[in-house]
Order: sequence, then C-alpha cells, then structure tokens
Amino acid sequence: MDIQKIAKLSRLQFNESEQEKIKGQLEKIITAFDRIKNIPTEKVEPLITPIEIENTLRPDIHGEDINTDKYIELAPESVGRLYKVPRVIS
Amino acid sequence: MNIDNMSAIEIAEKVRAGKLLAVDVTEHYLKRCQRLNNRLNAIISLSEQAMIEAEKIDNGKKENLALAGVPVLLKDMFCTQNLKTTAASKILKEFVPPYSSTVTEKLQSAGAIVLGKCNQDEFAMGSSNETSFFGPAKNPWNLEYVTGGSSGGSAAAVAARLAPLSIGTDTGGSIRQPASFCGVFGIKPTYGRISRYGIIAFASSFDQAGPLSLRVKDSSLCLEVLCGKDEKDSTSISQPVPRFSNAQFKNNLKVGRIKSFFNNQVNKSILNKANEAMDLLKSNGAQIVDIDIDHLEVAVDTYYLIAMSEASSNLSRYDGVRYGYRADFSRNQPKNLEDFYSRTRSEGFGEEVKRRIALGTYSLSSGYYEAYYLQAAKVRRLIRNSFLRAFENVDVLVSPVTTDTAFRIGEKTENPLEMYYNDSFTTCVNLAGLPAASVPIGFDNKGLPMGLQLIANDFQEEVILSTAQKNRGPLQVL
Repeated sequence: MDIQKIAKLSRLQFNESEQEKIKGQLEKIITAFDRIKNIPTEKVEPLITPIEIENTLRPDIHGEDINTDKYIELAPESVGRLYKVPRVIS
Repeated sequence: MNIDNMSAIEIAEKVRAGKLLAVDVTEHYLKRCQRLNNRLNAIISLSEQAMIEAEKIDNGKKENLALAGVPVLLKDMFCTQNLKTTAASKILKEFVPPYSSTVTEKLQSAGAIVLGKCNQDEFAMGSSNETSFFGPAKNPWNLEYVTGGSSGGSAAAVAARLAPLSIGTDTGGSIRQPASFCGVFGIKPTYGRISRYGIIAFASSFDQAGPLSLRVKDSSLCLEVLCGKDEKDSTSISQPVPRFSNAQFKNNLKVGRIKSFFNNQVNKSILNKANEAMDLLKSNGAQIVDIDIDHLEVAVDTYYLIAMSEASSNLSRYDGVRYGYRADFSRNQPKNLEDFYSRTRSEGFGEEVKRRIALGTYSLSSGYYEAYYLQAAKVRRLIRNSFLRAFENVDVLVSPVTTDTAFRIGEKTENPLEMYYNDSFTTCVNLAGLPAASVPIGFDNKGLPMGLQLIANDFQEEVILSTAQKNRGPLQVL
C-alpha cells in the first residue's frame, strides 16, 4: 500500500512514525476485508442506496435567502464579505 | 410529584393539562445534568436557551403539542441554531450552526425542550465513544466501562435519567449498540423515514436518526413526531406515518431467529436471556423459526468499505476555509494550497477519522474501486435481497445486539479491527436499510445490561415497537 499516495489523495499528512503505524493498520484492515472478493457477484447490480427513491423535482421558484453575513462570520478569517486565507502561491 | 419517574408521555400530558410546568421539568433536568455530568461525561454542551424555551411553552398554546415540555438531549451530530454542534471533533469544536436540523425543528415545534448536546464518537466513527475529542462518556452501570457508541452519550444520558428522551444516529449500529450497553431502548427506523437535513454527514446511504428512551412508548411517540418526508432531504421517504404509539402486538406473530448470530462466540448470559425472551413471545402465541441470511459473515467488511468510502467524500468539506478549525499558519506559511488543506485536516481530525478517510480514499481510488467499493455495493444488494426473502415468511427477526456486554474503557483502543468486529450483528441491518431496535433484556453476572435486537421489513417499525412492548414484564428490568 502506497501510504504517501493515499495521504496526498486524502489531503492528510503523516510524519514518519505515524506513517509506519497507519500503514500497518490499514494493511491489516484491508487484508481482512479482502474476503468480500470471494463472493460471486456476476450480474449483480450494485446497491447504492438501500430504499428505492424517485427523482425529486420541485418548481424553480425563489426560496429562502441565505444571510451571507451570518455564514461569513463562521470563517476562521474574513475581510468584509470575503473569506481570507494565507498566501498559498509564492 | 416525582419528575424522574415520569415518562415523556406523562410529562407531555401533564404539561398540556396545565398540571405541570415545562419550566419546572426543565429546571429539574438541567440541575440533574449539571450535577451528574462531571462523572458521566455524557453531555458536551447544555443549552442556555432551555429555560426560555420552556417558558414559551408554558405561556403559549399547548393543546396540540405531542411533546409539550419534554426535555430532550440530542447527539452532537444534529445542527442546533445558536447552540454549539461539534460532532465531538476538534475540527468543529467551536462550530455554532446558523440553522437547525429538521429533527431539531420538528422536536421544538412539538413542544420538546432541547436541554443540550450529547457526547459521541468523533463524527460518529466508533463503537465505544472513546474517539470523542472530549473524552469517553462513562457507562452509568459501571463508570469504568464504555457506553458503547457512537451515540454513547445519548444512551448513557437516558440510562442515568438526565432526560426522559434522547436522539441518536445509527450508521452501523450506533443507536442499538450503546442502547444495549446502557440498558435502554433505542430504535433506528427504516432508512429515509427521518430527514437527514442538518445532521452532520458521515455515510449518507446509511445515516439514520432515531430515539432512545427507558420506555418503548416514549420512543414510539417521538417517532410520530420525527418521521415524514422533508423537502430538504430528497432521500427522505413519503410513506404515511402510522400512530406508532398505538401499535398492537400481532396475533400469531412469526419470529425468525437469525441462526448464525446465536453462536458460541456470544456471551452465554445474552444467549440465555434472548432464548427466554423468545419463550415469552411463544407463550404469547408467536411462532419461532430459524432463519439464514446470506453473506452475514462478510457484512462488517462490506459495511466498513462502503461507509469509509462515503465518509472520505463527505469529510472532504473540512478544509479550514469557510468554517471550523484552521491550523496556525502565522509562523509557518503553507507551501501550497494542498499543504494548507492537509495541515488543517491532520491537526483537526482524530486518529480513527483519519484512518477511515484514508481507507475510504484507497477503496475509491483508481485500480481498487472495482475490487473494493463496487464489489461491496454488489454484496450489499445480495444481503438486502436475502433479508427481503426472509420477510416473505416472518414478521420480525431476532438476534443478540452484540457478542458481549460493555468492555472496559481503553481495552480495545489499540486494535481498530477488533473494534470494527464489535458491530458484527448490527451493520447488516444498515446495509439493507431496515428498521431495527435494541430492547433491554437484563444484566449479565458483572451487572452490565444486555440487549435483544429486533429487525423488521421496510416501514414495519410498528411490529418492532409492539413486540418490544410485549417483552416488558419479566424481562424488562428498568
């Protein structure tokens, strides 16, 4: 298992000792789960959500407005009505 | 009047009739929470609005309020406007939602008083409440033991009578397993019965809310309030909502005993009590037959692969930009955008959450998707089909909830895989989307509670509720 690749895809960072530990744990778990490969599933449709649901449509009418200020207040940092983040390009 | 011994139904009746004030009930329970929580750690935050809400109930029209003045505690997965909602995670530890979940709104419109928010496993990922950023909740029957999880605080709170009613969520057993460990009733209705709007997402095709209470009838009443189609959740179901609290025990009930779950890995006391419970049903005219459900031996594996995959996608929203925790970049500027996201996420998420995000990402990644996620989704259909076939012949399926009673705090934290296999008897139900409950059936020789699992067909919650009600009497200890 390429733990560095998984960390990158997951947007997570692990230092060297953490990497060692989590790699061991994940490999142990995925090896145990490998059992599901033995179940014959040819011609079986995957079940994505348990109860059959219909496509839900609604008329395209203006609903409740979101109070932008209330949402901006939740940000770790903001300027006026903009989210502020540290510089990420040099 | 002894408020502690009143059911939610009684409280509501008395408040509606003007014989009891919502403020008195609320004050009583708030004081109890304040007094007992430092030992139980079942609650993360108490509401400062509770007394004001109670006053409004007392001063308003209350004839039609099903839960008039009933104090209720919510798992910290339910968004509550102006009240901190943390998912027991560092990444949301200061998060105050600008809106409420549909569950919160429905409870409040029915007159219930939200007392506060319960402890849980971080993002509901765990089976012992030990992954909480705020530390484990303690089992009221023995403070050195876990409450179970992930709705551990909700179960412990009801068991310790910090509220007559609490709400949890069940993704792979997170209502039933802690209900069983703490000796209370807890039910997860059919997937889609209760709106998921405003519930912090873990695994969207499994997540389902449900009540926990000492008495079956209080949960029945609560389900009447919570169930129903919600325009804000397109996966919620527009099935009619029955009067659950009027559910009658079915004559000639056909009970299926899930054979493979009654095995020698299960604590003998649990097996004995489960058999006694079935004898009781038999003496009430029920027929008991043995049932086999296909592929249950891989239900846990199938469930975790799908749940982790869905979680890895759902939790990608925590990026430190718009809300929640952000790592401190003041002295150490991010190298690039990716470094900005991943440093925040690595500091904000706990170990178990990171493990699940990583494994979910792996099972969805190119080259592994077909072998893991897709294969699991196919096995999921086989398991659901097998359950549906079983329900052509029986009304309700019965099994233990867990292989054993509660374990000691710290006993299993070093072995994640062992922790996952705790959920051996509960995850299959979520794979199939069926309703199921844990009913208290007594105590083992360590004095720890045990539960019996009742599973029904889609939308047949009434069968579970009426059967559980019948199990009271000789087996109901609380």
